[in-house]
Amino acid sequence: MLNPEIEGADASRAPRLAWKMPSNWWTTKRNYRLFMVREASAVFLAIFLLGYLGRLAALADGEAAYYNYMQGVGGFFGIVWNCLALAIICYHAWTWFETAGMVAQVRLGGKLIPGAMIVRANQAAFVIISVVLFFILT
Amino acid sequence: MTTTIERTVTVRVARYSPERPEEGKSYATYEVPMRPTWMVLDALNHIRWEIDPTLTYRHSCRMAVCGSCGMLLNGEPKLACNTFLDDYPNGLTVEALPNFPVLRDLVIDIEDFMDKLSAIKPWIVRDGVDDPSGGEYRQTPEERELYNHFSHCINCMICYAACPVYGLEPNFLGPAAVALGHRYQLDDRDQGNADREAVLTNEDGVWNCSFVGECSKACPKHVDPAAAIQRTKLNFVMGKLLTFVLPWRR
Repeated sequence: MLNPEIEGADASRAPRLAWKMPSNWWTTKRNYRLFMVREASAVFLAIFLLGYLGRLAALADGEAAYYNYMQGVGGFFGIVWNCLALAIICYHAWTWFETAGMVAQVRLGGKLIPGAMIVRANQAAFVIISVVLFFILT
Repeated sequence: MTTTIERTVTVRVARYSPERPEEGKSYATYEVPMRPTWMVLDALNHIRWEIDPTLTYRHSCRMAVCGSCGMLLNGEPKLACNTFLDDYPNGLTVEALPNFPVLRDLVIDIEDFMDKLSAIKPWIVRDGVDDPSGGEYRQTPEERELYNHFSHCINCMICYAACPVYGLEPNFLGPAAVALGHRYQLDDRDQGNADREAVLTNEDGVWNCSFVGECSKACPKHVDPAAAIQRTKLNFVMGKLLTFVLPWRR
């Protein structure tokens, strides 16, 4: 029986005060707000990837098309957008690693490794790989 | 002779009477002595014993074991017996746990939770009838460690009150039921995984969870139901993947 009637009451029982979730529920707690930012960050990631696909398409069309494309997106608003998308995607990645400690169960020598250690190892790897890639690509 | 004036705190309590449902939810305000050793439950007992005997709420053990006195304290779901009144020097608002229908004042209807709890069979399921002359089923400390902290759940429903998914989708199986289902899935004495998995992974099961994580933050016994839900998802997917890659594996 997984379909209880949460609203109203049947005739055989005393009337119950029904619960109704307020539409602004996600504004009521810091953790709910951070959760919504994490969920919304997927939209930024999708838009960023669409832009990246456009960049690849321009590259396939030749040097002139790529140059024109980069001229179009390389202005002030393009840079601001990319900085914003980078910050939000980094937040998404950081919180994703934080969940890893909750989900992954790794044993070393028969002992469970604490979740916090898994989180920190993931985050350290994320930072180190990002820095290495930055120096390789620039 | 000196007179000591006792500190007091204003406690605002949500009231609902099924005899007057048209009035809906209202609030009553009481002045309660602020004593450093008092829990919120002591304040509610003081109100009922000394001020207003009609105030209705559930409580029993007074030591965070029975899970009866879950309430919303200044917007946070907590156990009234496990929260100091002194934590609220500027006043306290006590309401029934959200996400549940209210029967009266601070008493919620737990029928939905009880149905979900029994659906996941939170007990050791064995194939057939065991012969007790075979002795007890022994476990190593490592085998027990796998499920130990999930077994600390006291069914207080605070995780359900903290879960916005349950508030929006009442059919969701919910954190505590999954945590207890997962606890028995990890118990090597149990043989009921197939039945339990069917409930845990159906359309009202773990897939509804969007991993807000508030259930684990709110849990007064540090059970971590969010981890149980995510691990159930992972175990299910890995099981299906292994069956696909290695079809001879059951």
